Amino acid sequence: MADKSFDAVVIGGGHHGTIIAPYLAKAGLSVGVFERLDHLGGGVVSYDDTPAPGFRSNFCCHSTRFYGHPSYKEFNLYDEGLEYVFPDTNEGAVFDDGSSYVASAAFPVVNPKTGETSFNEENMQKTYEQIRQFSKPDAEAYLDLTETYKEKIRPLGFKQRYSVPPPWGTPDPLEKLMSDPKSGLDPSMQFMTCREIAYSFFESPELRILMLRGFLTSCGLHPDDVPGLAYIIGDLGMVLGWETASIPKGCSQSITDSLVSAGKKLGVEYFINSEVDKVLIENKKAKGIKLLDGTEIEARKMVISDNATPQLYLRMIGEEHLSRKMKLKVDSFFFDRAQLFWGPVAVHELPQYTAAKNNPAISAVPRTYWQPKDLAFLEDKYIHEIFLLGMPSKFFCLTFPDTIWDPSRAPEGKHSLMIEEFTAPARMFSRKEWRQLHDEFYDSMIDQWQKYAPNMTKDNFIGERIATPVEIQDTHLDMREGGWSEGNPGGSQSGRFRGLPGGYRTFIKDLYMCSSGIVGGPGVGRGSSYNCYQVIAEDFGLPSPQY
Amino acid sequence: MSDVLILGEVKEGSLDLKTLELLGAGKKLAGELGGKFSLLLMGDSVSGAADEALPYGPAKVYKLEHALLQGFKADLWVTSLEQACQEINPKILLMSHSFIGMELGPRLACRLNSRLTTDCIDLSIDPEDGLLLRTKPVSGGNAISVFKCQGEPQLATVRGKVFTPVETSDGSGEIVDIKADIDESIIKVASLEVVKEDIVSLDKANVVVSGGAGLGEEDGFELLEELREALSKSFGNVMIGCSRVAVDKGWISSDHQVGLTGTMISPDIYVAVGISGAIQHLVGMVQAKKIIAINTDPGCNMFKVADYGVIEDYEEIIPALIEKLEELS
Amino acid sequence: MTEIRIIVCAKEIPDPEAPLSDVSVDAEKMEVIVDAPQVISPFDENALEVAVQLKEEVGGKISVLSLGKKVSDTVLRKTLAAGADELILLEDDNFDKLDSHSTAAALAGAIQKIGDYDLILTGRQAGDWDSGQVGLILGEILELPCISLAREITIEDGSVVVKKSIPIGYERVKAKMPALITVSNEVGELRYISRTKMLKMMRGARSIPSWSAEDLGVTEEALQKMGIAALSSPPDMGRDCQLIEGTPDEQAEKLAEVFKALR
Repeated sequence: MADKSFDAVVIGGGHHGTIIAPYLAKAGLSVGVFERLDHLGGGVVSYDDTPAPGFRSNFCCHSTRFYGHPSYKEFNLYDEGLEYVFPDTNEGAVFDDGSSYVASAAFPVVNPKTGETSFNEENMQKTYEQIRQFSKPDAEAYLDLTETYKEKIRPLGFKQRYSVPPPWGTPDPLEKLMSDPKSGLDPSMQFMTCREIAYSFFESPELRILMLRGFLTSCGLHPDDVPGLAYIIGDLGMVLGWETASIPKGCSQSITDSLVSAGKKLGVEYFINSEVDKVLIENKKAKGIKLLDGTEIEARKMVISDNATPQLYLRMIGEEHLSRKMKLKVDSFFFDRAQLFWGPVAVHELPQYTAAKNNPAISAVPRTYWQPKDLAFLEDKYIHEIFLLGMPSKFFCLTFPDTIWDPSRAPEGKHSLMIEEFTAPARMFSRKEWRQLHDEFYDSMIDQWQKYAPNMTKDNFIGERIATPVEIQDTHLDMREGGWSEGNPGGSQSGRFRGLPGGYRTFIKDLYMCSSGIVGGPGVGRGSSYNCYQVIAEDFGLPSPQY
Repeated sequence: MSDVLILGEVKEGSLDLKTLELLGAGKKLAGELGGKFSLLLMGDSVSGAADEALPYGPAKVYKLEHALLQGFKADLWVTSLEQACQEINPKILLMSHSFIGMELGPRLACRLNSRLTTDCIDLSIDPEDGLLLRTKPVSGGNAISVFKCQGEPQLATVRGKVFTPVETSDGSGEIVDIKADIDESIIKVASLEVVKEDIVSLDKANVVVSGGAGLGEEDGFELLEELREALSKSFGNVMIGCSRVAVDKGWISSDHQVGLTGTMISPDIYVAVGISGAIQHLVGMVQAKKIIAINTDPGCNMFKVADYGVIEDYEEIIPALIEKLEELS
Repeated sequence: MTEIRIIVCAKEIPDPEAPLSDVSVDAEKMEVIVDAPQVISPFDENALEVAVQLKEEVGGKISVLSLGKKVSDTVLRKTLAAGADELILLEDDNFDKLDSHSTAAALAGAIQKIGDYDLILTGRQAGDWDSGQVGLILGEILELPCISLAREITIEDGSVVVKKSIPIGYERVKAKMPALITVSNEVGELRYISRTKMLKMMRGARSIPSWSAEDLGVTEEALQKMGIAALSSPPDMGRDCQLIEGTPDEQAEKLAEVFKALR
């Protein structure tokens, strides 16, 4: 006898669990969400008094565009408290020779409530001039690419992200573009490495550095990894700053809070501190779940997992149910990308970059890199040093000075910045070494930052909460090895190739998967849960989403 | 010839409690062997303790007295013990896993070309071959291993508080004097001075407030001290403990260290602050009646063995807790 | 003051801080499986730290010995970065799962091969099997003065003076060198080796010598395995942890109630 019963049981109240639950409830199902930790949202959480008293900061997820997710309209998340601020710039970089780069959004948001955008010629010109200082041909390439983006790629964006991919053999929207000679994409790009891509689009070391560092930040891909089409578009868009940055007021937690608030209104029941141990399977059909404490929950219609592939398949389903082929597929899902030194630092004053003298806009860019103009190092040594030693000798550091646009995150007059630098998988170092690496990273970061912004001395720092991969791995079971992408995202695991055959529908009837381990991939606001709902709606004759 | 020989320890003229536990173990093993157990006492003056030991039922109490055995000079003790073993020729020799046993055991094993198992938590006789089965936690307590080795005497040091102390019985045994041929030339390590320190006896604490790497800095222990004082108003014997990392970092002296190489404790309440719970630490405190863990990392081991958990920065929670405790008392 | 030659014995073990979930027991193969990175056993790191301190004070040379079936020189190279002058790996298929006596015998072979030494330092016990025997047996084999549980070591005119921990405090003892000392963690943790230093060490072309049992003149018969008769998982220590939630103030209130109830 089950202890509780729902039409739909969701394993895990992580980001995608909190998205799919209100969709199911809106379709009239009773929904129970079961979460291991003491809070919902998975990586989409924020904490008060972090990294110092009076501050509020994100712990994991940071850069988001959730206003573009269909659920934003479907559940009126704006009214549920999810409000974005839109700076006009997005990507910027300061180099060690005093030069700098700021990309202004060619498609800025004109209606903050709806996220509606409009092409902006002036911003495009600004970005053109910024690239022009490094290379005229690259600047011209920017104009061409922007045109292609506007005409060919951008209109596909929503569909590419928020629809169930077609079956293999039928090209998806991006794959169709490859055969269009005017798209700027050709089929060989599917198999190019990040380095090949960077070199095939741009000639200046600055743009090549931005592309390679961009592949790292967008999906943790190394220069010699194959990103796949979706990440090529993603990286170009980020580096060229086509879309505006967007900053949720009150930190990323607002996304989770608004989704949960919408879910509760629709009757979703959330259970925290409720770790799921097993999916209950009878005759190859999912019948419910068993919690770690032995409680059994019946799923009258379906079970939906917001877990990454290994945890769902090896632990909750169990190896005994897997065919050899399936087991090997799970085994070939690796976890050694996207590990970070990551977290907020609190400061008295924002960095004052010397480069701002010639390029004042660099003083306030939502995503600011400071990095040496050393392409050869980034290509040949950066990753090798990281895997050998845990950190590179030269940082290519990304910082996010969000308090400029959302002052509620810091006490008056103070600021906080998120920090991102890459590191190695958790397994490579002992616990003690990670503690030491953390301390050395922090000291070294301050030393190196000062070379770009002399006011970033130790005295300027109030506190830090920089996490290492072991901490991430301990708190987020699916972020194995401490990588935020929940499994390597490139090439064979990008776009519609991600996950196991069957996609959202697992090989067990009535068991679905909605996590970032499936098509949609890692990143907040990606399509996996939305698309998973569409598949469920088809199987059970439920209404389609309104948006 | 004796089947099982116990090396006793004498504290202030009397038998140490650990010796009674060893006698308990020895009696059990002698039973399994169908043999007898005896006790060996070494020192400059152990007659009182030898008399005291007879009622516990050893077949013999070997008394090895020598003026040079005053205090514990390992070089003299190990040579004396070696000679005693050659004379008594026991099948099994048990020592306490104490400061003395830890030093004598390996050195004696080497000299007698036998194999020693240290820190045993269970002992029995393999009925097949009469060899000693020595159960010992390994990998810091993550696994339990049973060892069996050749050689005689069969040697083990035994963890405290594992075996039940032997009870008095008929006591028909006899006291046998044995001699040691030792002189000062054996001493390779000279004692210059013994310095007594103000040592915290954590095993006597009712409540232990313990800090680890998660404190982030030495000053964290000041806050723990304040909590200790606040708790002292409601509980007797509240003491400060720590993890190994805190000692390594030089934040606190090692007598506060809880765990495998520190003190093994079982207080009424154990409060772990910023201790993630390396297994070597856990085995030292997991017997506490109630365990309260304060840590920012919800995934840490300590929450797995705790009764109550608070996922919060200790600097937030402890000052508030002290305030609330004041209100309650 | 004359320079001293120090030999430090350092063992490579799986991270003893690994969480419980990373450790499993294969009872059939009688192996403990730890899914964690390899490290230098913590007390051996303490021994190296004190060696480096002594070298800084009086000058000298530090050799590190590490014994195993196969020793990772990437893990052990850290000792060179920390200040050791020489790292020698003692590797042989027959060195797998040796008992303490055989390990000490093999180490003694290597030390005799080195020949010239003043101090041998080992950790008080290894962080995997926690036996605490190898150091003292090594001292016995080499017929050296043995001092255990050192918390401070100083050199005075050809002698070594050690503060060793005893139950009531500490004892200051003195021995002529050469001597063997087992080191406890009170000496302090191994100095931090910055990444830049490590990088230099990794890039250093220096080859690390590896000596086999034959090189050490140790016969196969002298190498006995640990006599493991059975291996099992420990009893479950887990308790049902009740999480106390709320604001720090609310949490403190509830926690105070818990204490009150336990009074």
